[in-house]
Parts: sequence; structure tokens; C-alpha cells
Amino acid sequence: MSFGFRSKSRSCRDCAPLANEQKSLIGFPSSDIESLSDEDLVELLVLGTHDALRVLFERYSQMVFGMARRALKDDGEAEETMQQVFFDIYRAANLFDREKGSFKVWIIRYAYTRMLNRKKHLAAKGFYTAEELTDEILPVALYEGAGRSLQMSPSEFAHLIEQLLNTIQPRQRQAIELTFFFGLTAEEVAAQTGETPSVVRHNLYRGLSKLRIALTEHEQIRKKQKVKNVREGALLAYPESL
Amino acid sequence: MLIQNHCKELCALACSGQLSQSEIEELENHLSLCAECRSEVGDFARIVAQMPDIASRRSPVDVPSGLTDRFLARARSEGIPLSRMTKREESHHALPRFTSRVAAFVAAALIVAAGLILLRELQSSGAMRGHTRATFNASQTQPGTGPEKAGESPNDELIRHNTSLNAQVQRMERDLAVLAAKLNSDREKLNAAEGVNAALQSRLASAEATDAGLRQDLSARDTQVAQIKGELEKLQALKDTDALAFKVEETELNSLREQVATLDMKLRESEQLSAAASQARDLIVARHLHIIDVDDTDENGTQQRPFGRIFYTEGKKLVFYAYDLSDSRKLNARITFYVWGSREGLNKPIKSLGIFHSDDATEGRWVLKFDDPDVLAQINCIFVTAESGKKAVTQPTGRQLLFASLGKTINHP
Repeated sequence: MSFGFRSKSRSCRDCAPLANEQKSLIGFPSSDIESLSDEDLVELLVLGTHDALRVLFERYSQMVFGMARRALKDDGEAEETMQQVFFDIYRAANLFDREKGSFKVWIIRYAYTRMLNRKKHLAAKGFYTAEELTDEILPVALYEGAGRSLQMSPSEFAHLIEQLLNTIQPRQRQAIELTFFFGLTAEEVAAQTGETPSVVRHNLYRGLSKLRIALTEHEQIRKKQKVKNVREGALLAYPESL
Repeated sequence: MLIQNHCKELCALACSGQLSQSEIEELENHLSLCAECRSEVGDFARIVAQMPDIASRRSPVDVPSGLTDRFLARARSEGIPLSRMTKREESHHALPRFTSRVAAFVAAALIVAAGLILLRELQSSGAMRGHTRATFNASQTQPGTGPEKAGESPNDELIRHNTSLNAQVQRMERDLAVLAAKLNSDREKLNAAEGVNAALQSRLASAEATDAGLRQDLSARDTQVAQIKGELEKLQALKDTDALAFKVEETELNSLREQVATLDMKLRESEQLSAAASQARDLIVARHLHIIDVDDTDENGTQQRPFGRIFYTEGKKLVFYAYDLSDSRKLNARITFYVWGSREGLNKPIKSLGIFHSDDATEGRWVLKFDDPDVLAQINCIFVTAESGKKAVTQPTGRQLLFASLGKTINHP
């Protein structure tokens, strides 16, 4: 099992035995790759189809740029960081494991890491040099486990989270927003709120846990309602079948 | 072992990019043992994955123009050949659907053409550069003439031309990258198709071999079936022959049975005739034979219908024929005719000699045969009584008829 971001080579890209999904992607027309899922595109990247990177860029560049722009507060730095994220993704595509999690979570997690790393360099030296980005921090898939209890659609998911953010304690909501919306570190949040970094991290954990519990309960209610609807539908259809 | 809250905190922060390397390793070790935390990490990851979208809705960020172009340019400069066309543009300019091999040839031809154009442009730019340099030198040797007169230095013209050429080169590089990508894709398709073709050929060969084997088996089975049919027909013919022979033999057997039955009947008749002849011979040749005719008369002396004839061999045998004892047309089963013997003049008990049996119904003839010498020695007359009922009769009680004295005179030598 691999976790976190570090320099780690899973296998040689050219000589690694192909998984079943990879075999099925051999010979896939490059003109049709835009219809593929994110995870399939990463597999294509591993197989040497470079255009898969372009499609992934088209899908996620705005999101990553927005994250970086809000965190770094500079278009140039944001664009540079965004480009670096995608080049690192390209180089480390063979480290992605679709069994461990989705590509979106993978790139978001790595983008946060890259942003914070970039901020540390800028804060330390006050300016940017190309040599500072040679750190070997490569994205490795996070093991998310099998207990995927939250299965609602992305739009419904985001809408619910936005609503639930208003129901948790203000300091917890602030920790979440400053961390994930503006890419602040725990130390930066602590500097703004007057708390210690450990308290900020605890608030972040408590806020996310409340969101998770509320979403899980909502999911369970939704599933029960779905089962109830199916049963009622079956009961209504039963006399007709007679 | 992690403290529970610390562990949960690491799970929640895992997607924030804020865990240190030691914390990552600590969490990684814990996740390998704890399924619950693995599930929680997954849930936190899905929640965090929505954060950028929510942030974009709350505070939209303007994306600078040319973001994609700059990325593509940098990618190419770092050796990553990315095409610029989107799917829509690609489908708009897509070639008709040739086979993958033809498409590969077309792509290769386009690459060669692009290379030639590039070469020609480079040559022409070199010539232009030489021409410009010559012009520039001439203008320096002849002041007051050339571009200086128009207020434009030769360097500006060179820079403009160089910029134009660079743009062409970049465009051609992009086209070349697109064609190379298409060629690569077509090669992959061709390889995949050849692989599929080889697999199909292999399966076809295997199927043909199987088919040939099955055909041979089928042919062998047909031959076997034909042989079995022939044997079956032979057996059927033999069976028919046997059945015919059996019928013939059965017919002969029936015929023989009929012959045996006929012979048996003739034998019995012959035996009966022989017995009758033997009896007749015994009577004819007997030394002391009495032949006695018996008639009955009523009180008025009128002769009655029944009459009889007795053949009596003294002390040996008595045969009594009686005629018309009753109307044959009104045969009464309840009437039995008993023959009795007694000795006249002596008060001796009456002896029963037996009952008459019908000898010839059409003739109305009855017969009694008696051959007990002891009884015959004790009697000298016989008579008949008609007894009714089915009980055995020990003494004559019915009406007497056909009384005959056996007499002493032998009337037949």
C-alpha cells in the first residue's frame, strides 16, 4: 500500500506488464480519447498516448488554476504552479492506482501539496527561481479503502456540503474555508484566527467529521427512501401483474 | 498504535496537503490495519474533492487568456508532443474512414510533405537572409539609398521576416506533432488489428481443423451406420425367412395334429367295434345261451309298448336290451329304470342288477350288462321297475314291467 507524496517508482513504464484495463486501451483511437474517463486517460498516458495529458488539462486546468490563484494570489505564480502540477502528473502517471481512489482526488491533493510547497519557497526567499522546483515530490495515490458510503452525484454532493457548512461551528467552518478555499496552512490560519496550529487542525478535523456524519446520514435516508419507493412501486404494479 | 482522535485527525487532513512525511508514513501504517479509517479517508477525500468547485462558485477566478497555448508550448519544449486540436476540431477535419493501414500511409506522406515545406521555407529564409544582408551591406556602402530612406532599418525587416518564419515553423511543428500522433495512433490500431487478425486466423485454423476432424468422424459414423443398416436388413430377411418357415411348419404341424386326431378317433371307433365284436362273438359262441324276448300286456291282454330281449349265458353273463321304456320325446330325467333279479318259488331277497342305460336314443333302446356269477346263480327271473327320485333305491317300489323268467331250456345252442 502506498500513501502520500514521495519519490517512488512503481514500475518501468515501458516494460511493466499491462493490466487488463491497459490492454483494453491498446489501440484506442486518439480521436476518441475525450470520451474516456479520467482514470482511463491516465492509463493511456502510461501507455504513451501523450494527448491524454491535453484532455486532462482541458478538464482540470481551470480548477487547479483557481486553487493556485486563490492560494498564491498571483496569476503568474498560479499558472506556473498549475503547469508544474500537470507535468508532475505526466511524469508520475505510472504511480496512479485507480483501485485506491479517483483521479480528481489525486490531482486535488497533489495540487494542495504543490501550492503549499510553492508558498513555503516564496515565503522563505521572497522570489522564485527555477531551481527550487526540482524537489522530487511526486503524487502517489491515496488508499481510500472500500467503505465508500457517500455515493451521491457531484452536483448534489457539492450543494449539500455548501448547505452543511452553514450548520457547523463558525471556527470549524473558517478552518475549512481558509484551508481548502484559500490554500492556507494551519500556521497561516492560526495567524489569522489567533489560535494555535494544533487547534486549527483539530477544528479542521471536527468540521470535516461533522460534514461526513451529516452526509452519511443523508445518504442513508436517501437510500431508505429509494428502497421505500421501489417497494411501493412494486406493490402498485403487483395487481396489474395479476 | 495511534490515539483514536489523532488518527481521525490525520485522516481528515490527508487531503489537505498539510501532513508531514512522518505523519504520512504513520497514517499509512495505520491504514494498512484499520478498515474503518480507510473508509473515512475515502469519505474525506470525496468531501475535499468538492471544495474547489464550491470555492469557484463563491469567488470565481478569471483564467488568463492563452493559458492552454502556453501550456502546450511548454509541453512541446519539454519534449511532450501534444496536439492542439480539440475533439470538435479534430472531427471537423477528420479524414474519411480509411483502413488503419491507409491512414498510416497518408499520415506518413503528410509528414514528408510537411518536412519538405519546412525545408524549402528554411532554404528560402536563408536565401532571404543572404539577400537582406547583401542589401544591408550595399546600403551601408551607398548612403542615402535602401530602407534607410523609408525610415526602416534592415534589422527590423530581418526581425519581421524571422518572426514570420518562426511562426510558420511553430505551425508546422504543431502540424507535424498532430500527424505524428495520428501516425502513432494508426500504428497502434494497426498493431491491435493485426493482433486481433492473428488471433482470429488462429481460431479459424483451429475451427477448420476441428471441422475436418468432425467431418471425418461423421464420415466414419455414416459408414458404420450403413454397415449396421446392411446387417439389419440381412437379419430382417433372415427373420422373414424364419417366420415363413415357422408358418409352414406350423401349418404342417396343424395338419399332422388333425391327422392324429382323425386316427385317434378311428382308433377309438375301431376299439369300440373290436369290443362290440368281441362281445358279440362271446354271445354267439356261448354254449348255454338263452335268448328271451319279453313283452308286457295289460289286464285285458293288450300288448304294451315296451318290450325287451335278454341274452343270458348261464352263470356268466346277462345282457338285457329294452325298447320303448318311455317316450324318447318326453324323456323324464326323474325316472330311473331298475333291473331286479329274484328266484321264483323261494323267499329269497331280491337282488339289484343295476339300472338301464340309454344305448341308442333314436332307437329307444336301453341296455343293462351284468356279469356277477354269484348273483346270477341265485336268480331265475328278472323284472324292471320304474323308480322316481334321485335317491338310491335298494328295493323295488315302482311299477313293474317286462317280467321275464330265465327258464331252464336253452333256446340257442
